[in-house]
Amino acid sequence: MTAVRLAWRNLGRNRRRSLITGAAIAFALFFAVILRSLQLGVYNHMVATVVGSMSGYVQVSDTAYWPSQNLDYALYEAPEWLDELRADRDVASAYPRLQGFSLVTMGEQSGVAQWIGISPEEAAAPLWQARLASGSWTDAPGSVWLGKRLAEQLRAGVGDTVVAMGQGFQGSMAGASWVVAGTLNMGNPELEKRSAVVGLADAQEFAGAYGMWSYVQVTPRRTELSHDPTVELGAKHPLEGARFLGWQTRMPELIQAIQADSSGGKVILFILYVVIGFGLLGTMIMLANERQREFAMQLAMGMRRGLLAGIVFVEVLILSMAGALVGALLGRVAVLVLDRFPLRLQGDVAAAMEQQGWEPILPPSLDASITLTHAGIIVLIALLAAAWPLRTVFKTNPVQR
Amino acid sequence: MKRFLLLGLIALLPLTTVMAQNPTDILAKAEKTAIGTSSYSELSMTAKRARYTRVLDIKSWTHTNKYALIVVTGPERDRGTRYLRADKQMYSFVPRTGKVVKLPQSMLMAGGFMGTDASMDNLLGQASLAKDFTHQYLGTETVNGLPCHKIKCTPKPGIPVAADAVIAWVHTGDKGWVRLSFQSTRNGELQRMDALEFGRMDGVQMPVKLQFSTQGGKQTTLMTVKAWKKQPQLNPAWFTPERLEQTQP
Amino acid sequence: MNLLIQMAWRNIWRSPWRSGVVVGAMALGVWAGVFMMGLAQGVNAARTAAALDDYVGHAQVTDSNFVANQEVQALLGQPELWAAALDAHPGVEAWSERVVLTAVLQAGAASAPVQVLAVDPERESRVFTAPRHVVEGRLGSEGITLGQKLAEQLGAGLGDRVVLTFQDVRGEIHTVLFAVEGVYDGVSNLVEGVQVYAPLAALAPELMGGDSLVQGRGAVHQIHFRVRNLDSLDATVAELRGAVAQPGSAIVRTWREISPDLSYADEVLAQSLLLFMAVILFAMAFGILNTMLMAILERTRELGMLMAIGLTRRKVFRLVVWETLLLSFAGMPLGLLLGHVTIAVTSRTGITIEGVDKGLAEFGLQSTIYPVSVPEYYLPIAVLVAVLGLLSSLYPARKALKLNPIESMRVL
Repeated sequence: MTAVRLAWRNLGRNRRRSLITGAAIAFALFFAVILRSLQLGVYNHMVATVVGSMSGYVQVSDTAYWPSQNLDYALYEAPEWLDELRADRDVASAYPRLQGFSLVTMGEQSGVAQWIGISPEEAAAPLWQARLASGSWTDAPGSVWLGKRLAEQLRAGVGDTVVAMGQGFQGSMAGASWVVAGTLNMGNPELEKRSAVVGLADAQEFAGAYGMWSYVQVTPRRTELSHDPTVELGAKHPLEGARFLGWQTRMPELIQAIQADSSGGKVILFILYVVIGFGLLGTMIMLANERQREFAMQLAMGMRRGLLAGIVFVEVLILSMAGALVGALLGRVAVLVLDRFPLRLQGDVAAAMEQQGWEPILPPSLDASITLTHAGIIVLIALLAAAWPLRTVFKTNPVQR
Repeated sequence: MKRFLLLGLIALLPLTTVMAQNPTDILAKAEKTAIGTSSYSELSMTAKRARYTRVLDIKSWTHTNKYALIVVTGPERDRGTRYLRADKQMYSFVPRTGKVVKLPQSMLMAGGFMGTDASMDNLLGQASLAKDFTHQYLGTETVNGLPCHKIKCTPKPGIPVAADAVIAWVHTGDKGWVRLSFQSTRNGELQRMDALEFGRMDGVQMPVKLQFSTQGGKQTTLMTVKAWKKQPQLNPAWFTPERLEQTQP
Repeated sequence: MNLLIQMAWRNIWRSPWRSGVVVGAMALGVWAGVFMMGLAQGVNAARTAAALDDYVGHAQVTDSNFVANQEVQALLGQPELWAAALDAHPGVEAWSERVVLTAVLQAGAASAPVQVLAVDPERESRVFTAPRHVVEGRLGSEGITLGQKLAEQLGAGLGDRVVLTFQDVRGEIHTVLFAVEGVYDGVSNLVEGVQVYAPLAALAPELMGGDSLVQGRGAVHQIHFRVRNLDSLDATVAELRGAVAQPGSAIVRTWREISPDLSYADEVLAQSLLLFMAVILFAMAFGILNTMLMAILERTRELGMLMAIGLTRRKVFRLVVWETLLLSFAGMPLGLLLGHVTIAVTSRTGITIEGVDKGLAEFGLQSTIYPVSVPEYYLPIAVLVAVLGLLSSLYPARKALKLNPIESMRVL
């Protein structure tokens, strides 16, 4: 207790020194948080672009649906369960879909397309609204919205009639004429080449899968990489014969790609920590140098080395906590600002990415756990760097100077 | 939809009563009478799956194994759906669309024929068991309660058949094929066809109940021949997209 | 001025620990910058090279309609003229014709949609490295070569019978039997799952539907070629574009046109790297700033004394700036040297990242990264670090200015 009181007094007595040390720690954390948030933010952006809108963060489907994604393994509609799921505070949206493959033809042109039946609520969501390249969203039955490139391939425009046919639900035959109500930017040339979006009811009629859903696409409220709500949601909202599958399970290669890239990111992070560690060590060395005279005097006055070391350690501990707090706050503010005004990629790349449906930005991750993790690491580094002043305490000769 | 040949296979099934001496002749005799036969048939197919059972009723006109017109008569939802194979072209007509659509080859990749396992030609293609295979006589065996010649058929070089061998059980009497088993050296039996019942249609002896099974019997399709008639007047010119559009279920 | 530099120099040696820390921080910052650039360049170079060698190729001649819709009918006109032009051009190392088909591949009772690349295996292996990734058998001159993933999916292996079903240029359906002659380990599972190699000599006549006029070598969708020097690719392509008198709808495309996303990826990485680099260098600058601030605090007495004996505030300011700069200039070359050596060593040994092979494969990379030395970045990094060093000296120097000479004489 004495050590804490004395440490506190020491800190107060030399405010400037305390400020510099605290600032060093705060800035270290600030930079670490910014760097990591940007790194992870890029992955979030990537995941959001790849799965967020199309296959979904979490899918609820029949236990046999994955990996074949066979239309035959559809779920029975469960509107009450869906309402309950939607009411969950952790769920941002949940949309049922029915999808499969069929041949889409117009005149002599044809192509194989993945048809996706989406509910009216989903079609009304801003995401689909924003995807419209031409035409409009309508509730009129028998409407289809074709991927931009598929429409080009079929030479179909708004108002044209296309014929879709293929295998329907459990061996039945699927066939329909649909009127093109619009074309879509899907954010991915492949999707644009093979997507045909229809109303859910039309899709059920087309495939003969009355009252069936292929899966329910769930977007959780929190979509950070570190937080996978799949298991939790599955436990809270069980549906018989169905299971909850996160994108991590459905697309192992995406998570692998992220991990591979992230390992490069970790090298960068490691470098940053070495640089930060060195900066902190520098500050600590100077702190020790400056106080060597003071240490010597206190030792000469009969203070035990152990107590003196304890005081210095507690000083550093208080400073690192305070510094980390400030750094965390600064980092949070910076991250929020970067989220509001994201860094944009420059040049041709930006335009090219935009054309592919990727917003050319480097948004930060808003995951608060980043701040926590790195605050811990920085405090640890600061305490390690405090070994230098402690060493000084033990080496200082009380009579010298 | 290439599985049309299945219907050609029905036509192949009748066998002359004259028994040949060696395995090649046994198979050749069978095919000789069959190829070139034009016929009309009404079939009912029952596909059994882990999750569902589906019954499909069709009527069809075939000429050799290259021309076929198939009209679905049931279930109600699919009634009126039609397919045409005219040599190497394929067309389809779905009543709800009211349009004849020429099928591209990519449609071939769908599973069995209209959700069934009746895809024998998927394995045999346009190959002839008698002409395109070499034969090895393996003795006699009783299959489905009938005494049979067991003949192992190995495809000759260059014959586009994915199976490494086909084992055919041919009735020692006049009933023809009783079982065909498509074999792969690596994966064992790929698919099998069993003739379960025989009858006489339009004066021709033929199997009237057939079972196709894949995946070691996990998926089966039972096919019943409800009617069969010779149609000597059919010729390639009869199989047109217009005919496809006009033929009612 | 000289006197100040001398004083600064002496001060540096008077406190070796402090100097060591500042020099060390500088060296580290510079090392980090150099190494990171080298690493990133290594990743980029490896990815681009792997993509070009594996499946993109340096450039190709193809019909513009084929680019647009991949229709089997969009054959390249006058392939023999293009072949002659490619043979005649000294910059072209090798070329390989391809027919590209979508087909259904059937093995046993299983079937899958595939993209068939019909190639001459000998020519193909001179342009692409893919044949080198054949892990079983060989790139077939008579049989078909499957990706590992597809082979697994279909339960097929070497020597098995497979049947390809595809449409010829007239829309007629052909079925051709092949034996599996090879299994390759592809760039990604995506490629392995759909791309198969077949012998061009066997497929081309089928593709033409037996039309005797255009049989054999006539049926070609693309001619891929490899240049001797990638830097002069654009010039070579420009010359080739004029090499055939009436090219019709034939076009010559470089890899940047074939696979624009490849160059975007480089660009995105470079830009985000720049950002990360900035963050690290700023962190370094702050480290130095703090260390110098502490140093000023420690030397309050000394600086106060100097002022008391008549050194002007301006001169004290300059003294601190010089000290910092001298330290930076000592640290910088050290960092550059360290960075250079690190890269030189790791570029030979490679850096292996464990446990992420699959993900890296998705990027078209091996799990061992070979950094590339980046001498062109040494000057910009040096300038950047010098500027940051100068900036981080200004604040402590200003603090030193504000010292009250009398007050600073007091002990504690």
